[in-house]
Amino acid sequence: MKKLVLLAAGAALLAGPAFAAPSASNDITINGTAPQVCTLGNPNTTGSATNATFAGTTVSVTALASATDASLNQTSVTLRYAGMCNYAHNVGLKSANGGLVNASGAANAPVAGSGTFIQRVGYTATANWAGANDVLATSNSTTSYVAPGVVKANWSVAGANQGNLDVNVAIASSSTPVVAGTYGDTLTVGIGAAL
Amino acid sequence: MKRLALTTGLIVAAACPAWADDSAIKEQTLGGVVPNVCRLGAVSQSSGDNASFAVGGASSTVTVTTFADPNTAQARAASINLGIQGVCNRSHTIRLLSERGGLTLDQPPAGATPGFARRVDYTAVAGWPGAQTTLTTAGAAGAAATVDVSGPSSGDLLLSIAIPSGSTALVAGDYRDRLTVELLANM
Repeated sequence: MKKLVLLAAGAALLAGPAFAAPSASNDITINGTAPQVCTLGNPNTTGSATNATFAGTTVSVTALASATDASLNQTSVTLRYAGMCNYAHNVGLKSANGGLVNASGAANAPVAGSGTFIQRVGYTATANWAGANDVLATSNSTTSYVAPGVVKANWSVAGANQGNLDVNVAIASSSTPVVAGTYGDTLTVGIGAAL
Repeated sequence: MKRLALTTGLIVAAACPAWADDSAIKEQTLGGVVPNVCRLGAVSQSSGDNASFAVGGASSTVTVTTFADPNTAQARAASINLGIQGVCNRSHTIRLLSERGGLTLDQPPAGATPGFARRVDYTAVAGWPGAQTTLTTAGAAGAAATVDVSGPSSGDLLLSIAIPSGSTALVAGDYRDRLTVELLANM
């Protein structure tokens, strides 16, 4: 019984602080997270284009080959995108076909014994971003009209960057005649995750 | 019921991708058209017998050295093989066209010439990867021979022209024909 009374007195001391401090502080932690964000604006051409025009989302090669001897014409056009990535990121280029592929390739394959024709047109896409270049390269094919499939080029950027992403699309000239037809590819340009 | 709930969850996840803005991509379409082109270039002679060849621009000349035997006036055999650099970048047709239907007199005599010949026929064979056609003249102006080629082709179009020897004396004079070689793109 005596022990029980003593405990009750101790409890009373804690409930009523007879010794108040001269100042008080309380730390409040404020948290926030900026998400990883990348943006790319719609492109416009920059500089002078050779043998190509751009409208909407389409680069049209004016004369892919000579109307006189079907030789491959040189082409160059640069697209400029306003871009931003607020974290260390990747820049990527992706060709869906692995080159410019002839829509009627199967119906227009060269005959056996013929001389050489370009059946698939290669091009390079060179991206300039954050002071560095990256090149996606596809090649002419004189042996097959068939699309080799997706070709990618990705490279990493060590930090955030904001500015212009310039992508130059170029086709080198060749004296080798090109099979007649309509050629196309889809080029994807991306910043953020690797393509 | 459990399967249904799971499906609903997947739809929600796809509709609200939390990672949507950490990447930005743009797609560009690249395109161009290669026109239909057929072209014949330089002509060269590979061999010949009793005939010579002179290079011209769009028109060259084959001259038969001894067209008729000086003793019998009968046509002598002659032949020549030519190569013409060509290219056609789609399916096409090769056509040989004889303007006169044989070698005929530039200035034929007005009257009949019984016992004498006024025309010398010849054959022209065009050989091309995947195709060959032969034109044999028989007097019909505008005679033609064609062959279709089911795809692009390039290389030397080999043209062989042969005149057989004759057995009938020829009327004196200059004989001529215009043989046209064409590569025609099929539309």
